[in-house]
Order: sequence, then C-alpha cells, then structure tokens
Amino acid sequence: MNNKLKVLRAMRDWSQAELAGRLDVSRQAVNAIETGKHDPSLPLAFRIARLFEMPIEEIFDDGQD
Amino acid sequence: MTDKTDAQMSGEERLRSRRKSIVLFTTLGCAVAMIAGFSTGYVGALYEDGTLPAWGVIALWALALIGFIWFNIEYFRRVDELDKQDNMFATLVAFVFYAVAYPSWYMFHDLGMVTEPHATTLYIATLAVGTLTYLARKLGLR
Repeated sequence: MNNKLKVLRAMRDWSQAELAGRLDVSRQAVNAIETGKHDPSLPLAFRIARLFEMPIEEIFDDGQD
Repeated sequence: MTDKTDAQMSGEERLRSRRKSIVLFTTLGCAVAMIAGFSTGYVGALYEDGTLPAWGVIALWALALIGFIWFNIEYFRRVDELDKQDNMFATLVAFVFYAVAYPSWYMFHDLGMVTEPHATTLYIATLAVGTLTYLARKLGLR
C-alpha cells in the first residue's frame, strides 16, 4: 500500500522518532510504514489520520482506483 | 524537579521513555528467568534429599509457568504492532520448522540413515530458528 507519511512528516519537519513518539509506536514501525514494508492496522491508520488531521484515504492509497 | 507529563513531552522524549520502559521490563524479565533457571538445580537437590515434597516442586513449577505466561502477555501489551507481527512471524516459522524437522528426521531414521530423533536438539534448533527469524525481521528483512 502506498502512503504519504514521509511527505507529511517532512512538511512538519519531524524526525521518524518524533512521529513514532506521537503515534506511540517504535521508530522501526514508522520506517516500515514509510517504506511500504508494513501496512498499519486500522486503529494505527486512524491515529495517523487524526494526527495529521486528514482523512485516511488521503494518506493511504491501495492503488485500486 | 518534577517529571514532565506525557502531554508535555515531545514525540522523541515519549519514544525514549517508551523504549526505556520496554528495555527495563525485558531486562528484569530475563534476569528473573535466569535466576529461576539457576534455581532449578537447587530445587532438584532439595527434592532428591527429601527436604522439598513433590507438591512443593509442582507448586514452584506452576508459579514459574504463571510468571512466564504473565511476562509474555505483559510484553505483548507493551510492544507495538510491528513488533507483535515480527514475534508472530518468527513463532510461525519456528513452528513450521518443527512440524517439518521432526517427521523428516523420523523418516530418515526409519530408513536407517540417521540416528533416532533427539528431542533436545529439535528444541534448541526450533528456538534458534525462531530467534534468527525475529532478528532478521528486526534488521529489516521483511
């Protein structure tokens, strides 16, 4: 699944560690999501969407459109 | 000086605190497990010389089992979903290894090609496969 996490993080000038702390996950989890090696669970996807104040589908794209 | 509350901390500070808590919990768990492991020899000796009755050994074993289960549940509560996934994946690979290794060894033994399957060897190999798989995942091999 593609996502804009890296771009959104860069726009706020946050490190992976900063974002991980805000999401209550490890830095490895942020890295794995950004590089497409891990698809977040629905609760984590909601936390990400809430943090960036955006709808989930604007952050994540399953390429089905 | 008072500690910052969770809301006052930056993300990086929160991550450091979270990591510290997990490392401390795991280190304490491993230390307790090591002490329990070393104590088995002493408990065995007490049982053999009649100081400790059989029910005492069973009670200590049950206590250790409850502690082990509690530690694992608590560990999975503390780690994030990626770590849970890595743990589950490593456990699955270790299980599949065991499910294939034992019957394969048994078959070759039945054909007279190798010695009888050895439980301890299979146990150690299964743990090693699980640990190596987990470490590979931690190194980013997903």
